[in-house]
Amino acid sequence: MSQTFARFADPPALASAIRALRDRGLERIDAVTPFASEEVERALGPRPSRIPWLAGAAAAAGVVIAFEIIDWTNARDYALDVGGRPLHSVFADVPIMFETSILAAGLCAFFAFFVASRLPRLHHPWFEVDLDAFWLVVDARDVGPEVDALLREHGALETREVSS
Amino acid sequence: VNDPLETQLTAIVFRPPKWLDVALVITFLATLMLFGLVSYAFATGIGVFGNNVPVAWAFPITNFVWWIGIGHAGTFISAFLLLLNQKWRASINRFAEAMTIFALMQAGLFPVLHLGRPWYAYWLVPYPSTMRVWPQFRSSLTWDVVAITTYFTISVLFWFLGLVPDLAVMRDRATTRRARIAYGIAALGWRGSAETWARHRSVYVVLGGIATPLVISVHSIVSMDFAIGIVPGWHSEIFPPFFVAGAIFSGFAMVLTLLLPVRRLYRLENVVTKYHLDMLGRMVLMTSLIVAFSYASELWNTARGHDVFEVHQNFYTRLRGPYAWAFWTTIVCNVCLPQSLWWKRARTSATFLFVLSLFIQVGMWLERFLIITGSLSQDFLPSSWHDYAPSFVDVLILAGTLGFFGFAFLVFLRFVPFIPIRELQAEARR
Repeated sequence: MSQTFARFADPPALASAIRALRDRGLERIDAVTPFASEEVERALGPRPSRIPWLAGAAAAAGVVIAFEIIDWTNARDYALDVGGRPLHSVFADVPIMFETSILAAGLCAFFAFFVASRLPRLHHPWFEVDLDAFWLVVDARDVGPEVDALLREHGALETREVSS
Repeated sequence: VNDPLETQLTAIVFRPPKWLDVALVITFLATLMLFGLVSYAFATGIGVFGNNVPVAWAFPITNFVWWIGIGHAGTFISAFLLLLNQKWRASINRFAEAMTIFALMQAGLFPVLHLGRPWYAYWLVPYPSTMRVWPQFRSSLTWDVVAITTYFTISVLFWFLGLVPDLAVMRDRATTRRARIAYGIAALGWRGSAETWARHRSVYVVLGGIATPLVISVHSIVSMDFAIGIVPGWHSEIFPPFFVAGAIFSGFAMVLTLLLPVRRLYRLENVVTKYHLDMLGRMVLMTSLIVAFSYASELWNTARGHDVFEVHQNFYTRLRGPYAWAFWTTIVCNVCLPQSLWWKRARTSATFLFVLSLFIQVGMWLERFLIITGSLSQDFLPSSWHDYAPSFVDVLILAGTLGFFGFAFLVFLRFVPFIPIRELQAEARR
């Protein structure tokens, strides 16, 4: 499978080219930008990440895990009577349950980001082009003379083919 | 894309200034001194500290609370201000986050050093052992362990996640093969596809969203080490917000202490502008007012209460007694001097802010010293009252952590793009 890269001068030109290709019904479009550009992301269409939900689930799991660890260790496996106080007081659990839930959510979000982005990956065909520029990436099978003309019309400065 | 800002911000890392090597050597020697003293304390026993009974906490816990507090401003800048959409954070957030991480490294040392047998510190972790004994989670000591390890972990993740795109800039701009390989590995193969950028932002906001309540919880938990004890001057409901405000106050002062010399020496006046100084000055003023309110509230509640030992602690021991020097220095440094920041000229003068920030560091350290040592030395049993004096080991360990902190920070300045390049470029486009 190979991909066609078309370079543009700035985010607005890139965004308008993306919109033009999407209007023609092309789906397999991606873009490369040196820095985050909401304009380009909007043109590509909303692709909401599921990671926040995953992190939320991890946070809930963290609460349960902390509660269970405290309950098992202090109230069951090694019950220590300290002046007749309850063996397991939920109020004393709050700090640890909260921290564990944050820790679980943070670790989950962090690693989910790299898994979803397919990183780390030190070798990649995309490194053949200079990624410090604004590129439109489209599946080479979709590119015919018409698409090529469309790209030039929207200000593509050069096109390159990258095979992977 | 040929961006002069990008060139400037990568050049300061690739071509470090000459003073940096000298500073690295000095702080490295201080770090060695710290390790030497810690080894001495481990080998001899913690009797080498000035701690006594009843003042069993003294310097180590004062240093612990102070260093943790300094870390808080970093998270406040990077997480809180991210959620509030404050654009000015972009120039200084990575700097402040690194400060958080290195301050936490110092803070984490002290509870361990302060344990009678530090080599058993891992007993605080609930791991299944043949002893069949578990940590006691009703004790606030275990809360500290969880809070600080979580805070450190999340701070590192948040910092690194924001750093990855800029490590890729360094990789692409590196001129030597060694730098290309090192930054290439560190950047994990970042390519910057639009989808990755969108995901990066959403995960960054998630981490910011959880770091915000985290930072408030951490110093609240630290304050509970005191507040759940019944010692006069400690047993107070206002402690969690009071400690959090003090933490952010001292942390912002530390941001100024570090940022202003770096801004001058690296000629970053175009990136860290007077506007940033103005905003930081306002934050210092605001948190100073909260701290001042907390001091007043403590005295007010004591006066309205009927506990003779609380009254003695707050109105004699601290105001007129053996710790009056620390109390009044604290008031001058934390309440009086920051009032100068009502004037814009003070808030935008780098020299003035730098000097003021040093006074605030001293004031905040003394405040913690006062709370810990004052209360412990004069508690409910006058026959056991005892004064406290630090030993030379105490003083040099504090100095050593300053050196270690400085060393870690300089290594960060030497190898890491400490001003977020991609974030500033995206900001400039908006």
